[in-house]
Parts: sequence; structure tokens; C-alpha cells
Amino acid sequence: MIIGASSRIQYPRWLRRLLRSYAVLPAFAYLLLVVIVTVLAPQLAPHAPDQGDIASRLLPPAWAEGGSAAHWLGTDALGRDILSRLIFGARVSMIVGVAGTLLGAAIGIAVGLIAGYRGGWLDDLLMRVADVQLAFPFILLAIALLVVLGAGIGNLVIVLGLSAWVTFARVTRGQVLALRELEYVEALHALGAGDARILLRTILPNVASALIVVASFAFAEMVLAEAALSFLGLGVPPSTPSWGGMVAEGRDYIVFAWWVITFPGLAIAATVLSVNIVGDWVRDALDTRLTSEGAA
Amino acid sequence: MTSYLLRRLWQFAVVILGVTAVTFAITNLTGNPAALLLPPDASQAQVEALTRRLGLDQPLHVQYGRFLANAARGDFGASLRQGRPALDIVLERVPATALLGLTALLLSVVVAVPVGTFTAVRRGTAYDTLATGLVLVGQSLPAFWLGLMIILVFGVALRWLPISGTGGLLHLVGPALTLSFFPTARNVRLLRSSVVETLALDFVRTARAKGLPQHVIVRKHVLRNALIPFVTVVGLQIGFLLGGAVIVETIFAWPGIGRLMVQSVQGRDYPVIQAGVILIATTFMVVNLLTDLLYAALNPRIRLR
Repeated sequence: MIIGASSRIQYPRWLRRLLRSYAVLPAFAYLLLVVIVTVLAPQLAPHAPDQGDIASRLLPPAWAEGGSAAHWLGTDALGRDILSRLIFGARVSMIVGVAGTLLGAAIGIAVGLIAGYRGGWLDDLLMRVADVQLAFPFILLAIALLVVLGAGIGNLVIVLGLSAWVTFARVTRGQVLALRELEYVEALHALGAGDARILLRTILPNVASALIVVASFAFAEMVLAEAALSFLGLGVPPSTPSWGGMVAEGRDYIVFAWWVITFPGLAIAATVLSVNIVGDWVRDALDTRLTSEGAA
Repeated sequence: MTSYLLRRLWQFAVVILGVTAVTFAITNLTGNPAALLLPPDASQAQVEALTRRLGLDQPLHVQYGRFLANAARGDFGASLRQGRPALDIVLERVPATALLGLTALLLSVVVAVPVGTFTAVRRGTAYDTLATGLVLVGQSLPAFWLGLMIILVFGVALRWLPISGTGGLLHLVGPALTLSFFPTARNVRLLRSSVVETLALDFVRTARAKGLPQHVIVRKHVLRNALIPFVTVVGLQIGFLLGGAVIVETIFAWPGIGRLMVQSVQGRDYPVIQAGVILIATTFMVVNLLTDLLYAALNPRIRLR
């Protein structure tokens, strides 16, 4: 046993924990699949997503009675292949999720750094702005803004990014308030380092691990929000396949074509679930207070 | 306590002012409301005449001042679609949304307290793993899809529930279940971690050493402490429920504020949107304020700065 133990490769702790957890690997695998599908959609989709065939409308999935091997997951009311639309729909979810999170993070981190580091009236002002935003139910604010700006992927990203900055700002601010008082930051001041240098090169890297966790949950929320807004007809235009839009289109056929709304809904739920699982795992892996417990 | 209360009220006033400003700005960015009030074939002169009559040609800050003064008196103008006062139309919808939201809230607490406590006490067992897994799934399901699935399974396939609209108690089941799903998942998680933390405290060890049975320890010592953070978060969920109602009411054709807001946004009925948004935001903030004060009252350890 001793020989076995000494010759065993010592994987880093985070990797051991990854392999140990039942849920994290499938979640990672699913997210990887979604990313691959997003990139290679035109190559992977068996049909063009907007190519309809009235003769084969509302075909059930291939394994159900009356299904066709040409359409594994069936067709929608216009005879379009559901699998192909799911594959192209992943693009909308991923693009909106990633771009919206980046925008929200950029605004929120900048506000949080300034508010936390400067303090005073500027801090008060920025935090009251955050309170104003939190007083609106998000979906209502998003609907109102999208009606003003018009539907479309670009506007969707702007609205979702603007809705997400508050959490980033609050977390960043809280961390900055704690870090600002530390001795090494004071030492940098004494050495004559500028504010920008201290903020960007000393404080920001220390805030980063907390922000990665915030970002993962923001991403999951954006995938859900994009789907909900597209469902309400305020997200991407109907010509672009999106998961939320597919559920909306299938709503009228729910009585006799369950598959039209079921598969896009499952795709959304699986994506959000996977991101949440990975986010939980990242939080545990980065939280030093938990590492001793996890190593036991 | 008094200075804390005054400070919170001051913040409340500032945020309400911000909310009205944002609402005013959004509804005024969309172009000239006068053009919407007139038939599409109205002449340019007619549009200009109405613009002047409504005071829309005046500087924005004058318009905002007048909007604010009217809003303070509950006057948001007449609905562009129905011609009746906008606030009346919104207030008519309050009972339906309140019924739906409170039922969903109650449902989530009734499920979360036993499940959250049980999984915390039995931490690490198969029950805990199963419940925690279900909670994660519950937090990942899109509400609009879940609602349609409930319609599909319980309305279409099993015919246990009506598909949409209002009527008897059965009509409430589908929307309330859909709306309660996410808060239930969140509450189970929250109470579980709260109970787990409390179980590790010294006074619980003392109670054990005294030989108290487990159920007495959990009920009398642990839950009473663990419920304090829980109560405040449940209060904060009122805001989430108001937002979630937008989607759920649309799917189930439930005649509440959420559905009214979606319809008004689609019909560009600005007075109704303004009245509804300000009412929802104010309600949410009043609940937040009350929750904070309740938290302070429940927990004497909290130092009010």
C-alpha cells in the first residue's frame, strides 16, 4: 500500500474534488456540449433551422408513433426540425448570457471599485442608484426598456447587462471596503502608488475569486431571463430561433404536440442547472474556509 | 432606533424619487404620447395642438415636476385605451395578484420549513442529497415553461385542473404552484443552511448534554433561532413574487397586475404602466423597510448603526 501511495500521481485538490463529485462532471460535459454546438451549429444541425415543410408539420419525435427518422425530436407547427432549431437556439442563449454577464460585470466592478475605494458622497449616490434599480422587479424593467429600445439581440444584451451590474457592484464594494484597510494597501499608499494602480493591480485581483462566482450565477439568470423575454415576444425577433421563442411558438399546440415546448424547456433547464452546479463547485473550491473540511 | 428609523425613511424617500424619475424617463423616451392618443390619420396640426394642450411641449423638468405633483395625489392620468383613471385600473387588479402571491408565499413556507429542517438534521444522508438535488433542479426551471408543463400534465392530460382563467379554488392551484416553485427551492436551501449553522452552536450542545430529546432541541432551541434570518428573506421575496407574477399571470390568464403590465406595455398605455410600476416598486420598498424593522425587533443582537 505504501508503494502504491507514493507512486500515485498527486492531482491538485480542485481536480480531486471535481472527480469525486457526481454532479459536476456531467454538468461540465453538458456545458461543453452546448459550447461546441454553439460554435459548430451549421455543421451539426441536420436541417436549416428556418426551413419549413408544411407536409411534415407537427411530426412527433422519432421514437413516438408516427415519428420520422429524418426529424429526431419532431417538427413544429411550420414543419421546421426541432433539433436543428434547438442547436441554433443555443447560440442566442450563449451569446446573450456571455455578453450580458460581461457588460454587467464591467459596469458593476467599475462602480464597486470606485464606490468602495472613494467612499463618501459618491459611495452614497452610487448605492442609492443601486437601490432604485432593485426596487423595480427585474422583468418589469426589462420589458419597459425593451419596448423603448426594440427587440433584438444587441438590445437584449444591453438590458440584461444593465440589470446585472448591481450584484457585481455590491460584492466588489464590500470586498474593497475590507481590503482598503489592510496594511499592505496602506503600505502601497505610503510608497506613493497611485489610486488606479492600487485598485487595478492590488485590490481587483483579490476580489476576482468572489466575482467569478457572482458571474456564474449571473450567467444562469441571464439564460433564464433571455428565455422569458423571448417567450413574451420581447427578446430576439421570431425569425431567429431561440429556446424561449420556441416554447412561446409551441404554446398554442400544447394540447396535441407536447414535444414542441418540452425539448427547448429541457434545454434551458439543463443549461441553468449545469451552470448552477458548476458555480456552486467553484464557490466551494475557491472558499478557503471550506477547503480544510473538503480535504478531510 | 429612532435615528435608524429616520435614516431608513430618508433613504426610502430618495429611492422613491429615483423610481418616479426612471419611470417618467422610460415612458417619455418612447416618443410623443400625443401621437398615440390620436387616430393614425391625424394631421400634424392636430398632433401639435394636443401636444400643447397636454403640456408635452414644455421642458422635461417642468413636465416631471407636474408628473410628480399629480402622482403624489394618485393622479396618473387616464388610460389611453380605456379612458378611465389609470390608478383605478391598476388597483382593481391588486386583489387577484395579492391572492396569488400570498398563496405562493404560504405554499413555499409550508414546504420549506419541514423539508429544510429535516435535511439539515439528517445532513449527509440520502434524503438530504435527494432534497438538495431537487432544490437545485427547482431553481433551474424557467417559470414560463414550468407553468406550461403543469397545464400540459394536470390540465390537458389528467384533466384535474382548469387550463386558465379564474373561478373556483382549483383555478388558483396551477399559477400558485408555478409561482411558488422557485421561492420554495430557495427557502429550503436557506433554512437548511440556517439550521445547520444553529445546530453547531454551543447552546445546542448544552441542550444535548441536558439530555433533551432531539425533537425538543430542534423545535424549541434550533428552529426559533434559525427562523430569524428566514423570516426576513421571506419578506424580501414579495418583490420576487411581484416580478414572477408577470410571467405566471400571462401564462394562466390570471387577471392580476402582472398581466395588466404586459398588456399595457404591448398596448403602450403609458399612464397605466406608470401607475403600475410605481405602485409595485413602492409596495416592494415598504415591505423591505418593514422586513428590516422586523429583523431588528426579532433579533436584539443586531446593532442598529
